[in-house]
Amino acid sequence: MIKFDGTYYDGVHPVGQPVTVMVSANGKTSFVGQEVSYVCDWLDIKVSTQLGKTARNLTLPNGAKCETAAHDEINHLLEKDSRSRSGKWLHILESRWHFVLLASVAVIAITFGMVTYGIPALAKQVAFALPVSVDEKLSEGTLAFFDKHILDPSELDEKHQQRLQKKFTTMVERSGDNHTYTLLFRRGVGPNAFALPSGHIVMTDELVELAEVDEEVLAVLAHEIGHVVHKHGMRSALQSSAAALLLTVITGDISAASGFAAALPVILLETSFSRKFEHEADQYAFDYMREYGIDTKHFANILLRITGDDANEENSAFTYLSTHPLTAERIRKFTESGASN
Amino acid sequence: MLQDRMLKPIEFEFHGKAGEYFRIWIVNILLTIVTLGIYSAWAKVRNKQYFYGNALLDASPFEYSASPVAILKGRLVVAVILIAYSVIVRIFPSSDGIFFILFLIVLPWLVMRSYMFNARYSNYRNLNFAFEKNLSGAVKVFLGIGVLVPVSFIAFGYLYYTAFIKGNLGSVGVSGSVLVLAGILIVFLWYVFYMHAIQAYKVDNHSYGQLAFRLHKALKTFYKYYFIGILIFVAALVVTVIVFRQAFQDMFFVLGAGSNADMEISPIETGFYFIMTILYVVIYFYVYAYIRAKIFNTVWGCTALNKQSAYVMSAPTVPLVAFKGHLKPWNLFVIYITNTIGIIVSLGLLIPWAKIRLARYRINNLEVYSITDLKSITAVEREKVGTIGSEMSDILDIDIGW
Repeated sequence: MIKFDGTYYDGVHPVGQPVTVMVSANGKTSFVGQEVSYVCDWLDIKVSTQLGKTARNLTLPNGAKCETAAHDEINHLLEKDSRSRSGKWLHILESRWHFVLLASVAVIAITFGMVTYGIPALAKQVAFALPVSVDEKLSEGTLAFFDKHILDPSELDEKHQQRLQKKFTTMVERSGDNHTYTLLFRRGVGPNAFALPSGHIVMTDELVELAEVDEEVLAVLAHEIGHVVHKHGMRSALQSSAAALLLTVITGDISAASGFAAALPVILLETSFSRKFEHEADQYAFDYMREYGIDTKHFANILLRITGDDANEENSAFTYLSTHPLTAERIRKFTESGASN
Repeated sequence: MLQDRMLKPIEFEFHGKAGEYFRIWIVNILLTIVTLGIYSAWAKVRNKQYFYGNALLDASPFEYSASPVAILKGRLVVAVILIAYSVIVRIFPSSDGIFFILFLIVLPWLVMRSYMFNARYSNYRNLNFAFEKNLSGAVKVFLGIGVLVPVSFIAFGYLYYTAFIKGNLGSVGVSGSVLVLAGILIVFLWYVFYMHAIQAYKVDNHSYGQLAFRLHKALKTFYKYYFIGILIFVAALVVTVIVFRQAFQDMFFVLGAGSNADMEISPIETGFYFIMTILYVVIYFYVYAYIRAKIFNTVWGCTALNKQSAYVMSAPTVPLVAFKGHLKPWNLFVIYITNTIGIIVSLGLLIPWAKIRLARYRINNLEVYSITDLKSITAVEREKVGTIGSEMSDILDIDIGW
């Protein structure tokens, strides 16, 4: 016979009545209080799992409920009956600090692994499995938006444009990639070039004017082709949404505790993803230039000129937020190997 | 009403501990990852049970009794719908608009279902809460009033754009400014009206046993606190900009950077924008905390529970249960800020701590008054409620917190 105290709620009135619960060896369970007297079989009672120090709920077949703090007695009774033990295991996991420590390490390791390796690898697989037409879909409307609001038509003279177009076509043919590449000249936003996932590469007049030789322009174009070849646009879209989804699933509803903290990891992740892609595009440009005998110094030169005096940006507090790798670091690669070439 | 002799304060306490909850939370996450998300339904129930079970009203805990299997089914249905949606949109890109309209139409039903689900499986002293199946009310609030918020905003923005940016009405001066201010005011008034309508819909359709919740005369107070909140925001922003501009201009002058500062962005200027951004975030957080605290106090202060029949009578009656919220904007602000910093610095490991202290602060500052004898309250039989609505809004993350 096991005996413990509880509070009995009949399910009709929100008033608790103190009861004594007695469970005999054959499972006969009785609830006895001043105005309560109820008997049923132990196995017909639904017992809630242990959760911290919260009260245990016994749901009775008559719709009544008995609340109790007698965890030891109840756990002892559950030991003996044939019902599922999953609740017991959960509580054991939750109450042992060494296991909790292990779980924390595992969660951090898995999250870190998923975000830095798992998701990018998966996104790469998916991006290359998708046809080129999806890349085109992704950039639909982007160019029209830029043309309308940010960029102006190019003022570069026809001959110059044609010369660069011709060199660009050769580069695209050499890449062997099946995107439909188009080189577009525009004006505005300073010396800059960017690639859309569809294979549209936009280059500003300012950049062309900044370049002292065509090889410098080609170096930048090779970098942009690298973005398209490696499907960075699609991969970045996939990675960001997958990472955001993963973090939401893991952290749950943290907006309840702090709305701002929820957005931060996603921003940090995106910038880190973007830096990796810049490295990959640099590598593509580097390999291309080495293969076709263009001095890699040209890449370093144009990059230095674009960034101007900001090359020593290591000191900046914003480094960890920057989307591009440090200029000095990028330049080193191109100058060092250029010299040994 | 609260001074009435029949109403006595009831103790309302929160017994949750950050260390204890951390262990439950981390196990939840690990099992969710290991089971590829399937355990998330159990995790949700365990989470809720922890907070309910540690909220003790008159020494009795609340209980969350939803079945994880029901929640899992709801989540699977939502997942299937989302996948179908993304596939169909990929095949027929123009169907995007149709889906948006469909979603708008389904939204009130979803919100209502999730309130119903949550209420049905919340109980106190073995009596369930319930949410009235009031679809027309949901349609009225979320489609009738809600849709007009973005519509009025866009309409006003478009009007402003065509009048001042495209056309040259900027020279109109006084009447132009009046038009702009009037437009902002209308959007603002409508938005606050909508916020109140949501709370009224939520409170008025909830019941506990045969007791119905009612939100009584809260609209004016809503307007008051939203208005003060906006004033604080604008005033704080203007003051910081003026003060810091002055301070930095002095610094530019001292360092001699003023002469050629128009071409390049100096480190001082970068520092200026950095500090301005931080100040902006701080001001935003404060106003957010201000409105959350005041609206929490208002909603609870204006909410009463009474027997449903009592509301039929026109004369105001003494409620059986009444509330009073005492959240302080500054305290809530400090909690938000320290929570955010803690979560960032700990890479998320302090999330349980942040949730616990917020829950504790809220419960410690919510007074409940009731008549002494609750025996006259009785239960009402209710049908079971499916979980899809609840899960749908869970995944799509609609903010329905109060």
